[in-house]
Amino acid sequence: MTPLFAEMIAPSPAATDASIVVSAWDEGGLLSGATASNVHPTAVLTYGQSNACLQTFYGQNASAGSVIQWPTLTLADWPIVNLNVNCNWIYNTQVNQIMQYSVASSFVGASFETPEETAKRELKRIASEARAEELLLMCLTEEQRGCYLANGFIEINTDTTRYRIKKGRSKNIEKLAADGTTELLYCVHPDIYVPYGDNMLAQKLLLETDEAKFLKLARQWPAGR
Amino acid sequence: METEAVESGTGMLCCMNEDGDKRIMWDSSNRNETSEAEKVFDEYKAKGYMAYRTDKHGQRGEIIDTFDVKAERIIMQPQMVGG
Repeated sequence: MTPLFAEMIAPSPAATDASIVVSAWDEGGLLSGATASNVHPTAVLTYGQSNACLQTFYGQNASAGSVIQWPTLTLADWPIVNLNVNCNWIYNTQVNQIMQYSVASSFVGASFETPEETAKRELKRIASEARAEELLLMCLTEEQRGCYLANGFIEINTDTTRYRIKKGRSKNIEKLAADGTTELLYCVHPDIYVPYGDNMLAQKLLLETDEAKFLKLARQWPAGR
Repeated sequence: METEAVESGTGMLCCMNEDGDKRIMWDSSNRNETSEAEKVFDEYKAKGYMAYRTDKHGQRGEIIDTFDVKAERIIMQPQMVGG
């Protein structure tokens, strides 16, 4: 039986911040298609400011009944409300099998944060977004600036293609057809969390200077998916 | 030691981070300021950041690998990954 998420993790009693102990493992199913070469031999914790920008930590020596000390995630660095714990693949050293634990959930731990801390974090986020938007506006042409202020997106013309970058972090770039409809969606972004304005500027600079690299890095989807 | 003459002008280095960005201004005729900007540039390059020389009109940027004291604006961004 797959353990409940709440049974898998518990705040460390001694912690003053958001450190987490995985306190128990339970039986799981074999992960279909996985081999020892394409999984990490331990449990995995991902965390970050958003699901689009997750950092990954690989726990060590995971085995049934073991206790794993995850890295300490301070509220200042990684707001607990955005912590995402994903323990759904693990190489179980006791049974020598790759096991799947169907446990993946966002962990909303508002109780770890006081209202004052929440307000402070929100103010910091707003200031960061404003600063990044200021930088973005400084780096746009007059036409792009007007378009962004009116519509919330910018358009980039490369030698062959017109792209639209919408406000967002992932899957926010569109390849436009000649009639202006969206043909494809792309997802490529900085490997660390940055505010929206910075994200859009990074995407613009990459597209304008190295479209081939952009296309190589980006994941793409047909429009409407 | 002979040094290259640099026209006086103000440049700005912006290094993206979770708070928006770190900004360094320099006057190209001020050796202390240009040295500080170059030091920060090198620090972020060592972290794997990409650097772009841009202008004040938002025209297409240009990738640079070394600090350009004559640049109007340098934007440094983290490595990009597919989502």
